Amino acid sequence: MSGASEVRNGGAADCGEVELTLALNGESVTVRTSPSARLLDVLRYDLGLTGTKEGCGEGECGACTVLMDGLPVNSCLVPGWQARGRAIETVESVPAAELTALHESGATQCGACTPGVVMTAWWVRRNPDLVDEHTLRDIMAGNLCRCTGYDGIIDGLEVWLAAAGRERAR
Amino acid sequence: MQEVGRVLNDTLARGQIQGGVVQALGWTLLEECKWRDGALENGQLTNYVIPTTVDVPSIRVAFLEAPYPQGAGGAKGIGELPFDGVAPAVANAVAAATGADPRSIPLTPERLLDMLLEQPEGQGAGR
Repeated sequence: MSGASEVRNGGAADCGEVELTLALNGESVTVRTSPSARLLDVLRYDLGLTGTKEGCGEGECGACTVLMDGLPVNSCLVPGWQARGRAIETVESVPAAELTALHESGATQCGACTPGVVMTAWWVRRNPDLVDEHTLRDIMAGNLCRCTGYDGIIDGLEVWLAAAGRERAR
Repeated sequence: MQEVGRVLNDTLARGQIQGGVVQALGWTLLEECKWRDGALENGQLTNYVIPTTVDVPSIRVAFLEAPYPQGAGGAKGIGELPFDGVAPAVANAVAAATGADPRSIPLTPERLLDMLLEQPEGQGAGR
């Protein structure tokens, strides 16, 4: 844990650590980390959840999207300490069985955007009313993908949401 | 429409072409490396903008299958060819719509406006 902090600080003088407790994928965890660590760093390096990827590191690409108190955020833009007392959900918490539609539609090619795409999609999947006011293309506009041309992602999401809707109607 | 040899996996082949066309749309309309003093000036996704879901339409793909004897299972490489037709097609569409004669890309709004303002009087549908 301290090794990762040293790497992130570039060997700069130790500026102490902060301790925070958060609800990570439904479990309470406590972690000590650098005050300058981003939520992305806390998840990947302090907590070992490497499913969340760093893309641009400046909030443009959406690859590092996680859910914070149920809302999607770019974890590269959230200071780690801001997660104190919050509920954080990462791609590791999404049941694999939920991802069949995205898998079958070709929503993934190289995979760099996939964890972020899945988290935004998971947010929509759990808040189906969003699609009453916004198109799926509007909702997914914060997740850049270089490979698929987006059709695979949008098609998969449509199939996934339709299946979930039938499930609810039952 | 692309001639792909033989389609081995419909989903992946389709995705390669859709992705290639969308990348090429970005290249044609948005993406330009700007250099200053030997350094890339716009090396961030804030200023080197690539297409998002709302910038591009759904891409309809049609395969023309002609099994390629030298390829595995009759397949051909398909990842790069989708690039080729997009810029000429978009440039021709812009020419047809505006009367401009685009000779370079990306066809950003700024570049297109310059092109239209440089046109001799009486030419171009936009004047």
